[in-house]
Amino acid sequence: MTKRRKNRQDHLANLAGQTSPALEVWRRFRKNPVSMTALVVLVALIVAAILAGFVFDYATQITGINAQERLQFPSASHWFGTDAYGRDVFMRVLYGARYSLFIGIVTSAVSMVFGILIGASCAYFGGIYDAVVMRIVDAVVCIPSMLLMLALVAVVGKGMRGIIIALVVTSIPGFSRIIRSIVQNVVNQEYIEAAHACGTGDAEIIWRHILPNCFAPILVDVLMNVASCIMAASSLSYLGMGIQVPAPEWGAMLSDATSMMRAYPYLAIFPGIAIVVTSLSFNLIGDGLTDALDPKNS
Amino acid sequence: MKENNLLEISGLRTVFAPKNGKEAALVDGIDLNIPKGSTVGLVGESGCGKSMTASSIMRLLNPPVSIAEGQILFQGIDLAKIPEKEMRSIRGQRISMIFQEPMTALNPSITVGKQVREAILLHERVSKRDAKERVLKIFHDVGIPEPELRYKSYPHQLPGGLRQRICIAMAMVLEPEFLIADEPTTALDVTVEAQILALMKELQSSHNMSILMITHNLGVVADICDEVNVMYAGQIVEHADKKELFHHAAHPYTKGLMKAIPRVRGDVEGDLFTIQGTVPTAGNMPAGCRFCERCPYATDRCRREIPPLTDLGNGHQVRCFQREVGT
Repeated sequence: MTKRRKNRQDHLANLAGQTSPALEVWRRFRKNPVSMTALVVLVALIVAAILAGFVFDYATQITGINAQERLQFPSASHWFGTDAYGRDVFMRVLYGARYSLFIGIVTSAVSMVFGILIGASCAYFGGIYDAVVMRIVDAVVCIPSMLLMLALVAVVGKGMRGIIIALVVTSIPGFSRIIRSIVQNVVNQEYIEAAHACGTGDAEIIWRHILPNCFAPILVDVLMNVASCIMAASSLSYLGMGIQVPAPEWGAMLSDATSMMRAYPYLAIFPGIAIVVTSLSFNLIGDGLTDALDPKNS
Repeated sequence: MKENNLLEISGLRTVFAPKNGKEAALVDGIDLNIPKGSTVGLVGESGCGKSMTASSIMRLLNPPVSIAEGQILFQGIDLAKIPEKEMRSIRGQRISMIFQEPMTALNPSITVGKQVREAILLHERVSKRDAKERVLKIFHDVGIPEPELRYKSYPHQLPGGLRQRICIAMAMVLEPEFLIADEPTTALDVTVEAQILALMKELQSSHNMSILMITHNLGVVADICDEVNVMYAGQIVEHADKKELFHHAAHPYTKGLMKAIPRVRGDVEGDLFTIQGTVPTAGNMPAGCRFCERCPYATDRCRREIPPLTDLGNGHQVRCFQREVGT
């Protein structure tokens, strides 16, 4: 089938009302080569991260010391070379994806839930409640986020739990603000008034009419937030406040490599690339989705 | 309450009252009767309080706007006083509303069939399948071609005229006694407008309901209304039977509105007549007649005193001291 005929068919299917908005967005997203590449990379990374847990043995292959093979440059047998303890950097980088993806996705999901609760309630109810909550949010936003995260980790303790709590707390204010403005936009739409005019109750209006129409922009925001969470988590680990060595967290690996970077640059380059590629792919998917969600681009 | 009236509004005042600011009346003491089975027009330019009147009847006001005084008697129930929960059961079921913009009055993320079905499920305990049957029937009644197919369409996939038909279907599906149409054809082109008005007339006679038609288009009034209320700056300035109004308009504002309609035959030279100036904003009303600053016949008395609504006979009422001038 020619491309033109395919488009025509899509158009007809559209007229007949057979495509849902989600399918429509996917059709537009697919046309964006950059975002599609990012999506493929990310899916590959997620699959690799899941498989890494089954294929590699954490105690021997990931963290075990192997003195004979220490500090080998990248080669056919060790694609990314080996580090000062003779551990394969490729395996460690792959395994490290588990930490970054887990932290990024979990913290974003949790802070999204809080952000929706806070932002949506502020936008819907308004008034004094909105004013008070938003001033608290403003106050938290004023504190430099890195400083706040370090302080929170110091209180909660290093490690996975500390990182997640620190990231969630620092992400909530930003989310609340953005979600508030997204919801406010929808609340002022005529179909919300029309729903009121049909006798629909508050809970039903929020659940059926407001949230589904806010879903798309919130999703974009969550994706962008995953990217920044991954960077922040690695930064914390680099500073020694997050996941601790010998765990193959990318930030921790970078920190480990700092002292040997002149002689063995690959030790810093590969985990660095991993951080960049992962957070970049979340960003690019978010970008592509923003474009795909814009009906003007159809 | 008179027997043949479905709705009686008396002395309705809807005000904008911010916590730390001056109170301003958006609807300032209007009386309005809707007889059973008739269509009453509410005419006026933008910002004169037409839509506020509709929102007051539906109680769709958001603070700091609220009803300050007055009664809205609907079949013996004062809509201005009943609790929100009771109001909610009236909205959609006994009184429903059609909005100006069919583009934005439908939720873009739900198929139109489901949206209309939800209106039924909200008020009646019926199975989803029965509700769907009724939706398909009303789709057919409002002239939507291929109802089965359209049921699954999303609003953005339909043209404006069809969307307005969907909105009408949603408003009509529970067979309300009273329909408020807030400029239902303003966003549509004239051929579609004519179709929608014809549809409304047809539905009205088949369901014997009353319609409050809010519009700024006198052509729509001439087409569909039985009685007309002309509103200006939150007040009703003239009330009459449709024929009476078109033949013997008494208020200078009404006359101005009529003169501003382009004629098919007649003087095509020169500019179209316009009423000079703009509606005074709520809170900055003149002391006397609210139209005095734009009225060619205004006298000192007009600027000092508010003219009362006086009866000219035959139910024709006008709020003007100069009602004889210029006729």
